[in-house]
Amino acid sequence: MRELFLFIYRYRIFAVFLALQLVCLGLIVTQNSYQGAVFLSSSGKVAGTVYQTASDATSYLTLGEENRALAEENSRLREQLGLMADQLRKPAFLPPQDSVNTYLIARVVNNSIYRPTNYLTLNQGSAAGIQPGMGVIGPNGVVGIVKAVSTHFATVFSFLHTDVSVSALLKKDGTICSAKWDGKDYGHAKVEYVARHIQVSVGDSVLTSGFSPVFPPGTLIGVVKSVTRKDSETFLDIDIELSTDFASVSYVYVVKNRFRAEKEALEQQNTKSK
Amino acid sequence: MNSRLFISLLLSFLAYIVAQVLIFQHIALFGLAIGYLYVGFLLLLPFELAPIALLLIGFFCGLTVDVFYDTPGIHASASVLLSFLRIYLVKQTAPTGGYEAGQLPTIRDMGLRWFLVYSAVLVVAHHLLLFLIEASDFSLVGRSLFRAGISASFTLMLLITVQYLFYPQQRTRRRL
Repeated sequence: MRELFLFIYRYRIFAVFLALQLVCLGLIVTQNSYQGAVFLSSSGKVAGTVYQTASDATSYLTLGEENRALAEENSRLREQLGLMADQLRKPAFLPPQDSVNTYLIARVVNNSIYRPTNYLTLNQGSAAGIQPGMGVIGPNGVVGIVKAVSTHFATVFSFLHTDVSVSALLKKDGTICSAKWDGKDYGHAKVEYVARHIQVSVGDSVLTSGFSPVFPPGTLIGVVKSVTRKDSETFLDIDIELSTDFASVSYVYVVKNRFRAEKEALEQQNTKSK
Repeated sequence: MNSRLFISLLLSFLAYIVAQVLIFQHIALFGLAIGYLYVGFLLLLPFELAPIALLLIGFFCGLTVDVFYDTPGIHASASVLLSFLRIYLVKQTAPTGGYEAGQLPTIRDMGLRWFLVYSAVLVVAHHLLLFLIEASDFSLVGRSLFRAGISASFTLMLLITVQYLFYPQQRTRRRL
């Protein structure tokens, strides 16, 4: 017995090192997964408050830019409103697409773009009705998916996260595909699963499909930048330019789908009964 | 550990974390090289700290960065590795008769050449582990190795700059 204790004592440094690394491994495996429980995240009180304070201080520097972006969005919305004026006057038998979703406004208080796994922190949390799994869109398109919430903050998987992929379609002919970031440059991403016979040209828009209740259908993801057709591959290699400028995203909308729980419960039933 | 040392360590810890989280998190040279300046806190801990204390400090320092970076465990793991290697590196390079009381692993106390070798070994080990865990995808491993290399150079440059700017150059006893 004495020998055992002596042995442990002699290698105590290595033992502590090993124990700490095991704790780290546990955290990495359970906490970094796309759908894992999360407790050590920047939506926590301390980190959230630090980011909020820093963002309060620096937000003045970008006021001009933000004003311009909001004004642009405003004019775009006005234009759309003008186009819909006829529809508004007619009796509506079908509710317009977006009676399904409500949008919660939040400010981005922290944002990363240079890592293979990037996150944003928002200044709204469960108190405003945000829940994990909700989609986040900006004025120019898709931004990310909520990872974790505390009372007043939310952590968001940026679209710039190698585990995030978004159900998408090509605007031109409705081909279903999937948009995913390749971990390289924050301005570009890939579109996967487009069969070789589909004609895709540079400049085509890629939109969210709306099959999952995360993003409203038709939200812009990006615009096709280049298409490569390799003989050895089943699918086209498509590069898109992301419509959201992740380096300067400041205000976002969190998408709250009213029928999400119902839809998921129904789909769950389908997979169970199979 | 006396209370004065403890307070000075705590203050420098806070300074490093604030600089890392609020400034260096948003900087990437050429969009590729990221400076992880916070490892400077672990590199410059006094020689007199017990090895197990070094490991624990490394773990909590890494974990703090993880909370802000939303990467639970990743920085903690790399920092614990750094602290572990530091223990052996310091032991191997100890002068005969041991270190003087209050001596720090800084350029001022140990010389630029010693510090360069010491920090290069530890920073490279830290960055390699960090970028490899973060890669999470085999297709990104090559790119991650490259980024780890240039990020390590960037971090080293920052560490040396910080020492000349913020650490007193004339020899005084027990300062951080």
